[in-house]
Amino acid sequence: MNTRQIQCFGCSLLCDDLYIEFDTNGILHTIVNSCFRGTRFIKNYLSDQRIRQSIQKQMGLDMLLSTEEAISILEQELLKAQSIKFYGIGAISYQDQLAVMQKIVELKKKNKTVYVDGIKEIFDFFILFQTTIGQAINNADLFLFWECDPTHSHPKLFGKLLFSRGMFRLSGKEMKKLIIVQKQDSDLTRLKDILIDRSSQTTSQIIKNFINLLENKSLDTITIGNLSRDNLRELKAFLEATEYGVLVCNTPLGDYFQPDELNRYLARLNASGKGRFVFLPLTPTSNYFGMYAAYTKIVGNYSESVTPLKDGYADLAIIFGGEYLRDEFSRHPLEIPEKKVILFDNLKSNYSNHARITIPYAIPGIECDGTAIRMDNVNVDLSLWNSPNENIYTIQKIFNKISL
Amino acid sequence: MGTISVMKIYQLTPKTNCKECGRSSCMAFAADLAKGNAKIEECPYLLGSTFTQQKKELEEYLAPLLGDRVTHIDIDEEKCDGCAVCILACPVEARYSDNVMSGKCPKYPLQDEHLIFQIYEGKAKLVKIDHCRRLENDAEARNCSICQSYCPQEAIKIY
Repeated sequence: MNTRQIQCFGCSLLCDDLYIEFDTNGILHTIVNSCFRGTRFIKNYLSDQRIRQSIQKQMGLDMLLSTEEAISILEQELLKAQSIKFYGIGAISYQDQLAVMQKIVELKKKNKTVYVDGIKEIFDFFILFQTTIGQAINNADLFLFWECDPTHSHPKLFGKLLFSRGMFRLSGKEMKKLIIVQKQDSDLTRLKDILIDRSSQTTSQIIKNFINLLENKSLDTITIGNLSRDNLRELKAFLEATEYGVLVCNTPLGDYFQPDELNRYLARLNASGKGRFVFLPLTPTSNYFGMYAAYTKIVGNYSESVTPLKDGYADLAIIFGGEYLRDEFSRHPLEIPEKKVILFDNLKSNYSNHARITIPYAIPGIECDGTAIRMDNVNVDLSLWNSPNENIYTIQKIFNKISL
Repeated sequence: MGTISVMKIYQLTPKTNCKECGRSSCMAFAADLAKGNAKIEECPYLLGSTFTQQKKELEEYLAPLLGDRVTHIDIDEEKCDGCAVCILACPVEARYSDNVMSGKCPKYPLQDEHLIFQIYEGKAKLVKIDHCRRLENDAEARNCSICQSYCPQEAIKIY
């Protein structure tokens, strides 16, 4: 049996402590150290359910296509459409992203209107007080999980953040405090030091009250969730003792809290407390930061004319990975069925049932080499360890073959 | 102490003869268990959820041989999502593994006798219990339940 260390591409944590065991015939036997999400990511794509040839929907039936035929159809649809929206670019490798962005520039030159889903959010969230996951692991002494439960989206994040140093494990007491702000119970709730129910308050109201606490305003004037006076005193003590507090949340934050507002509040928190409060965005897909780097390199700075705030009218959707949509579904319940869809995916799903064509692609970190950029802007190498079928190309190769 | 029956032990093994314990058959494994020359957790199938009941019955049956060498840690595979908090929270694993100290899972194959949990196929498993604090002589250490306390999914239960 052979053993090999591999890089996971299942979520934005990009864990590098995974191992696989495979026999002399190359058959995978065991995956070690991967969470359920990483295991599913690897096993799904090596299973019999994996799409191995492009599929076109005709009269409700699946017609198999060669990759060249699929690329030809993709080319025709891109030329026909007046407006195109790309989804899920954050779920592919940096090299694939560069090739897609290059095509976006060419489409714009042909006077097409092009949208890139998620790009505005990532520009917005590169704010003044953003931290990296490395800083959060090494320096943080307090975490505020703001309406996010990473136990499902990023299973290994919680352990990495809270247990990076072993010196206090024997006492069973964590030196890092955990404050959870949410509307309903989750798997994290039982591990909290303080739980703040925010069903009756907005995000900005809660943060304003944090600031009032630190500025020693009377407790009678402060309402945070349903915390009692004793809880408020405890919260005040935690906030005052904090040297490096990290606000962890999904993008976008809660009730459409605007990034410049978040900047202002964090600045006031930092002025009121003795320590530093920073923000760690939990990006939904594995290579969101790569998407930002590829976009700024090829397309340039974000501009309203490229990706306006409300755009649901593009007539063609190019989607990378049904997994992306399954994570982001709450944001796109109505948009997708109204569009013509070309889907790049490796598994059958409701989206492949809806798409005009579904094209499989070589998975970075399993079937092709590539690069991903981690949440702390560190480049991560993804290596091939399972060669794909000949007709399965990388997204980079597919898009480089398109002639507009 | 009554006679330990090899056949009784064999009835509780997976009977796969997979040789992953290093023996030629489950009967050979059962014979070594009866002599105290093997540990239950050497069988990877007994660590999985399919054989949870058999593992418990074996621990009870072999208690006269095992003495206090039972951790009473049970992992519900249905609930476990492989988050590795048990590995990172465990004071023993953290003390002896540089990887675990820095927030990662231990290297594979396991290179240290002190490593207790490992994640296989997205699920946590007990792999080596010899250095679990629950087996120490110190009474306070034997009450260690840190893995149970910190499991976000409540998948670890100490029975």
